[in-house]
Amino acid sequence: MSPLSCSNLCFSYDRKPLLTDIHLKFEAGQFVGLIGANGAGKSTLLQLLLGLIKQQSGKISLNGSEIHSQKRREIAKQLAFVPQSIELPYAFTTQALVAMGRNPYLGPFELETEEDTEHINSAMAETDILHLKDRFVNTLSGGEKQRVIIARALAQQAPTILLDEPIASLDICHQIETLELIKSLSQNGKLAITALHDLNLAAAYCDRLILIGKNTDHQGTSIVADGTPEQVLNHENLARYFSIQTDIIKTNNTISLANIKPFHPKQAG
Amino acid sequence: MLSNIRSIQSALLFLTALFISLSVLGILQGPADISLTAVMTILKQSLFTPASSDIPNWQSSIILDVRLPRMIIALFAGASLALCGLVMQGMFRNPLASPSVLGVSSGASLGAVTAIYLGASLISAWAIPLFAFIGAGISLSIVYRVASTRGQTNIATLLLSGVAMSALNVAATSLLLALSLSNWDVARMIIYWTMGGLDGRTWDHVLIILPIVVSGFILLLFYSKQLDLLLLGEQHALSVGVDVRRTRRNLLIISTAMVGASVSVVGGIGFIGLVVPHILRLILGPSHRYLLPACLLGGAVTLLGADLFLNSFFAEQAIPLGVVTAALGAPFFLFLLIKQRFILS
Repeated sequence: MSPLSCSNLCFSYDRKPLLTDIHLKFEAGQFVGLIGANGAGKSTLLQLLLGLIKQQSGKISLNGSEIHSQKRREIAKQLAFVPQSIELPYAFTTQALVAMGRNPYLGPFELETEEDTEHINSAMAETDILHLKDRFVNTLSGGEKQRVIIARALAQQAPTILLDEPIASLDICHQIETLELIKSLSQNGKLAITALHDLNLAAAYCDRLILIGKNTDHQGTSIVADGTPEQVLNHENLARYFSIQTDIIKTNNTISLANIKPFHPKQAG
Repeated sequence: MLSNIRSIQSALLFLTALFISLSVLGILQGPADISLTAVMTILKQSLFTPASSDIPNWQSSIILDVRLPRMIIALFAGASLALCGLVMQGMFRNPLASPSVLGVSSGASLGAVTAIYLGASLISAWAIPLFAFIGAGISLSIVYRVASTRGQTNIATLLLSGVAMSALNVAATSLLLALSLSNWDVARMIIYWTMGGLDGRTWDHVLIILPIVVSGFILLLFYSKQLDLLLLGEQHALSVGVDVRRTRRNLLIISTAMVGASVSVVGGIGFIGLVVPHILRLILGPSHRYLLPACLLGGAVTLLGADLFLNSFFAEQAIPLGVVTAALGAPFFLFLLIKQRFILS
């Protein structure tokens, strides 16, 4: 059974259609990249899949039943989330913040058990923040904060993890490390769905890309391509949905984009 | 800021000690001179069998009917305001939020005055707190609706809608007073109630405030983890399993009930709900597991302390309690605004 899927999903903001007729099915062990131009609705789709916002029509099923009929605690055991930008103005320690990932497993007065502490520590080790354990999160750098949030999601021990631009505020080294980490999670059987802006990194790490683009009638957006990076990132899609003209270089199993130039159909036509 | 558990515990212990010593002071202090041993005997007598003793009757009635209820009300009203401020600051993720700033206190006042105006307060002692609760609830939900869209609360909109709500509530309260002037009995009751404070409070008032604040505090303890998670934002809280909508609604109901209870008994006392939680958060850190008991103690100590201060140094002038808390709190509010300017801009 697919851990997460949706059908006929439609969502509009203030009566303006944004996402229309989305059908998706995800399998455990996949590393899925959501790509698309700004405003295409990548974040919105992630929030819909998490049940954070409610669709106008259509169905999202998590482990076979509609997500909005399930309790938040139960959903949190299945889905972990790394939001796009997170302000952390309060002085929680790194450890305390990562420990919040264990919330779905603990009652109101329960303290963490040894098992919880183990998950917390291994999440911090995997994201390389053990040395920040006792630091206050409001004093950390943007990249460090991002890794703390990812660690919190890992501590949640959910089989599916959704990430909204997890590498946007990281330097190149931590970008690669974070993607490697997500890759290894998916290789260990987790489903990872990530909104990404960098097409080269998306092509290099994801085994499935989902492209969200404008409908032909300009009424909202929908899934316009879904497949391997090679299938999705072709000249036509890149020109039409990203307005770029580029060389596509194939090496071994991956493709990469080089020599990227803006492409305006009107001037060209 | 204190980070290890031991120093947090000793801070809580210090607050408890302050709480106890101020309570003792509160019962000893007053225009009539009654010794500590006399007080002890009176308390013992009232708790156990009233044996005959050489304590004059007037002394025991001052202790039991004047000072004791006054002290208990001061403690619980202060605690309630500080707890509500803490909850609102957490829910709205903003240190400027508090019952008075958000117009909740004035909403409760309007409710209470409505109860007197309609004559409901003559039917039952619970009419004033009930109406105060409704007034506070309506005000808070309007401010909350206006200021938050899709779970994001805009700081400026929140504070401004609180200002507008307060203005509306105060205007409506004045209107009711003006309308009631033709009926002097009602007008007198309204004016007497509006003065607020702790003078002339009896065990009836204790019966209103004590059960609500105690049960509210116990309920809030169940939410300490959710309050921590809400501090990080709605998406964060939802993704780790907090039912944000339900939690917000329940916290709103609990804190409104507490504001309603305290306002209906002591009137609008501003800024305790703003200052106490903020200072305690600076000292103890953001974890509500410690902040909730600390605010209970801290708010109680602050209001009782302010009352003792007034009675010791300005006993003749009869300065209202709200004046002291506002005199301390308003500059503090301005200080917070200056600090926040960087975030707001």
